[in-house]
Amino acid sequence: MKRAALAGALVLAALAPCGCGLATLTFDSTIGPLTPAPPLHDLTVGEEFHVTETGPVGTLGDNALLRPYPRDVIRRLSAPSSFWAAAQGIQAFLTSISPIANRTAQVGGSTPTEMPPELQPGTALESALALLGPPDLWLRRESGSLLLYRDASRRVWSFYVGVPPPAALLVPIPFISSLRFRYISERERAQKLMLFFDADDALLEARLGVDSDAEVQ
Amino acid sequence: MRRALSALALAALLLAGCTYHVRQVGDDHFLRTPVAWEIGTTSVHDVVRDLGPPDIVRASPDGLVFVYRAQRRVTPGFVVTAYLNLFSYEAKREQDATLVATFGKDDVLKAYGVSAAPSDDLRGDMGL
Repeated sequence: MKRAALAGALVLAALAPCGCGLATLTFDSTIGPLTPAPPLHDLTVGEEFHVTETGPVGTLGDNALLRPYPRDVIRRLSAPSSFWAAAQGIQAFLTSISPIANRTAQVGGSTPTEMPPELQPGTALESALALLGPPDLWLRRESGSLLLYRDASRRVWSFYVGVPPPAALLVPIPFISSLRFRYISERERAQKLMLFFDADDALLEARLGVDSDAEVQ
Repeated sequence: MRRALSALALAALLLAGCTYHVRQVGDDHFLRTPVAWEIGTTSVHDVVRDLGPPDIVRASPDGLVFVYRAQRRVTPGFVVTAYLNLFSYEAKREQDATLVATFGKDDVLKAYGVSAAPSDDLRGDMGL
């Protein structure tokens, strides 16, 4: 009997930090969705959970109630994108426990980093399209077309000093997990290429991002 | 040596539980680049030559609109946790720097304006 009580107490103790504790149950059933574990709260009472680079996130709806697992977990896990979500989740976990982390991401990839030599004044519009592919923006006007290619790159650099988060959960010293300072620097830049064509669809001017010296005319 | 260690321990205690997250989107070079544009004379090509391709292009029957934008967002936080979050404080500061240039049908500059540069003082970042 004592063992059963001890096992029950251990299970409750394990669930408490996950937003599934007695306090959460009481709050959720009486005064609304509140929990002492905010990072997990949205997942346990919300819906439409998904994984991002910063970890799993959920959406709190009007009917947010306590449940033992996210509402649409089965559908999400069976979706083809779940493998990508899992990879993002693993990356988020590894980043969270790494004292120093440096992540880069590239969105797009059609914009050249250097001006292609084929883009000379007088180049035909169809030749530019064949070379660079479809643009992000194409303004077709009587006076001439304007094409804009745009890529984005993101770099996240972070470090923390102190007790690693997973280790703090295992060390039986209260407030040990508070002994931590974290700094995160996130930088997002765009690589852009703009092409001006005249009324006869001949290239007038091409410009890369201002950091580049490459240009035509 | 003892003083240095004490100072280090004190600094660690003061920073304990703190998080400082800075996010910068876009390049604010347009705030630092001197331009000598003249209304009615400067062309679209001149603007792109000075600042590079814009972040946003809008086309209307009256002409083009170029927008250059840079954003700075700071999220400092403080969390006291003993397995569960006992106390948490988070301040968020978001500032946009924007330059807008409008052109006529003939691609000549009609008007332009630029906002102030985002300030990066620590006191303001902390919401104090």
